[in-house]
Amino acid sequence: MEMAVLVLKAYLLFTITIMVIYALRHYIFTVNRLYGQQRMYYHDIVNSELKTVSVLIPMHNEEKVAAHILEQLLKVDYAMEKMEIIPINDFSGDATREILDGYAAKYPAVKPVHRYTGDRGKPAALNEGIEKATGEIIIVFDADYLPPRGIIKEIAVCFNDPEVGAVMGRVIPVNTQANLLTRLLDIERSGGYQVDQQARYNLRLMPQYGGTVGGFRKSVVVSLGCFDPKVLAEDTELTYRLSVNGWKVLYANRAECYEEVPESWNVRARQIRRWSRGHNCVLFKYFFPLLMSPRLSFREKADGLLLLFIYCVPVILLLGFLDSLVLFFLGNMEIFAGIFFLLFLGAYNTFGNFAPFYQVGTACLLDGTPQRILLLPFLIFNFFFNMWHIALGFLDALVDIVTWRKTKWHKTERYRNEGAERAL
Amino acid sequence: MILFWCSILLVFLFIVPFVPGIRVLRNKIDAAPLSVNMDYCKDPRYFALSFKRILSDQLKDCRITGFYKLQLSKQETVQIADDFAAEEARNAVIGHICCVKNHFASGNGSVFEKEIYVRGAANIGEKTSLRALACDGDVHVQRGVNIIRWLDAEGDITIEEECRLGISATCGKTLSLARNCSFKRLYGLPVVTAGSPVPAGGERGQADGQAAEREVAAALQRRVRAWSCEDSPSPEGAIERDISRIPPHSRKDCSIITAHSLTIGDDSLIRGHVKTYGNLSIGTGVTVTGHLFAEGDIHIGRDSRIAGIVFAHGSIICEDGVSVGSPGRIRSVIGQKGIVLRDRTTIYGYIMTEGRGAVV
Repeated sequence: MEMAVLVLKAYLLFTITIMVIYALRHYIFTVNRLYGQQRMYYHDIVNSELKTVSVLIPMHNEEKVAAHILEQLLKVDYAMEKMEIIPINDFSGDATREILDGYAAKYPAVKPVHRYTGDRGKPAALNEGIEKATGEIIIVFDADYLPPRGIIKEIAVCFNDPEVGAVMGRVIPVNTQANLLTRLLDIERSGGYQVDQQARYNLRLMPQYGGTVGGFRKSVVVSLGCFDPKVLAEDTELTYRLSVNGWKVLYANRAECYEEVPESWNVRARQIRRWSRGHNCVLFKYFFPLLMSPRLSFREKADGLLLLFIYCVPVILLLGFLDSLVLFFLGNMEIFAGIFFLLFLGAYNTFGNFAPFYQVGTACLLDGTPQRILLLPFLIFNFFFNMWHIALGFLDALVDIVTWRKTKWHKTERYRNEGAERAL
Repeated sequence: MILFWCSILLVFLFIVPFVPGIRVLRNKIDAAPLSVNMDYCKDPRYFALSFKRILSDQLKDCRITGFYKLQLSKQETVQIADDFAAEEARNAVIGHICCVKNHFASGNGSVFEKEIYVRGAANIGEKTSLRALACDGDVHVQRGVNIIRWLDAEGDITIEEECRLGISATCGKTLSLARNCSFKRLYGLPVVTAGSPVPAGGERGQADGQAAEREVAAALQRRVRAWSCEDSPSPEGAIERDISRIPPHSRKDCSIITAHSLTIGDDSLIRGHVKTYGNLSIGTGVTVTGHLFAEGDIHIGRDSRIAGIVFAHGSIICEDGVSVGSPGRIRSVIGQKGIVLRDRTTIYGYIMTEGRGAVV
């Protein structure tokens, strides 16, 4: 019994240490965005020699949104002879095919790919798109996105840097006014991009390629074997595959693009569970390659590891809560003394109250929407909701690894409401 | 009873943090999506183009010379004149927008507090201060002029010594700068400094300029032995990593990426891109056919030629006779902390810094 109590106490201290490490990480990022040197992105570069670009848009039953994104892309400020638009119809059973064929008949730059055989899902669809693409640079948008006119140039320009393998732009929710969930997701996105990603770019750490509103060098991705159809987080996998092979991922805060966020908790639950499952598969796959890579600096490895474990943290914390309950009923909570008490307090303030919270607050300030800070207490609901569904995703990933089962892609539902119409 | 009041207190304390948020939700405060400008496109001459578009829309019905009240971004007084001569404005303070159909001469020491749009040529007298000027012809800026916001011309711009060029000075042809001028952003085809072989102004000047442009292109071609942008090595091709010094008279047919600083010796030829995580020092007479990127400073030595972009998170110094880009190939020189240009510098395209740009 004493041994079991000792293990439980050791686990609690481990949880507290993890919390404190992530709290410091968030704190450093926040301070950097508020007071640190902001590193210039490449969007100011003017270069008359544009690279050839292929825009890939994976689509599965996207009749609600397909026409909108194609209309936006046909208006972009990029020489059309240097650009092609490849919507990839991935097993659609609605009118997506007809919409794409209609655009292809009118505009030579639109070259749809229709897939009704092979694996379904974004990674497999992208692989087929890459095969058909002729551009040096591949830029990917999800079908619900609304790209502004200047975004292709803003993303493509950074590939003049010979070391850049991929670029990630900023995602901005367009259906913010729908309900409480969309408002919370909106401020979470703000914290994630305006503070977290930008600080990682400023500090020359490892910004993450997010799989949409971003691009990559085609020849590099082809040489690295394209996307693994078994991994649900193909974006995170690409980030690590590029990084361990010496390519850099950049974050472009100015390359902003509207997207739809889930409007129902069920849809959000499926989305975050899929992210967790995919991300944790990447953790199992890239933990050692990351540590061993000779191409990464110490701080890139440290940040890469923390990012790799980010979807493990809620699981660790959930177990920590259960652990503390057991210890409480066993009457063994006396470890909260001296320095450990301070550590626990720090951890509580981090994950219970403030963790991504001060990042989100800072992001609201930087975005010029200070009133949104008043929504911060509501994030506590998101916190527990995410913790549960991320834990389920973690279990899925474990089963994936053990059983080598085939993953199934679940598409996120589209809404297309008046918010998006207004943006158009 | 105590238990009851404690429960009430507990519920109250639980609800209190949510009250301001509930107000924000109910009243839809800051509820709209963050604003993304769906029509924004990067254009170095954006200020002038935007101003001219707004003004032209409002001036459609104003064909006679005189003063008009127009609604631009706010209510403004606009003077429409056939010509604007120096005598009208010597040491004067002009507090309205001027729209000049022909030529504009500011006189010396005048202050123009609002924008000016000139459809002919413009001559800005010594020690004049002006907010912004858009011109469809050529612009001559005399010594000691202070531009608060921006200056743009469809033709050439010639700038004399000791001028401050505000946020941006841009033109469709040659932008010629004398010594001791300061700037933030410049755009010209090309931007040249004192003694450059690409002079500006007049038919003779244009002919000379074209000849000089041809000479610059020919020299670059000779230097790189029939190199052209199309057959430059692809960046994901050969890359040499982590070297700190390239000896003089070297030739490298690859891109170079170093984790620290790099010095390239005199008269070297680099057929590829160069990226350093420290400073980059380029010797005299070096030719680089690709782009330069540095986390630190970039120092480009005398008479060196860079065919691509020059981008530094630190400062950039271009010594005498440096050229960047070539006719028809627009490039950028961007130094986050500052840029220094010396004599005979020729840059085809865009120059930009968040710090201080100076011609010395």
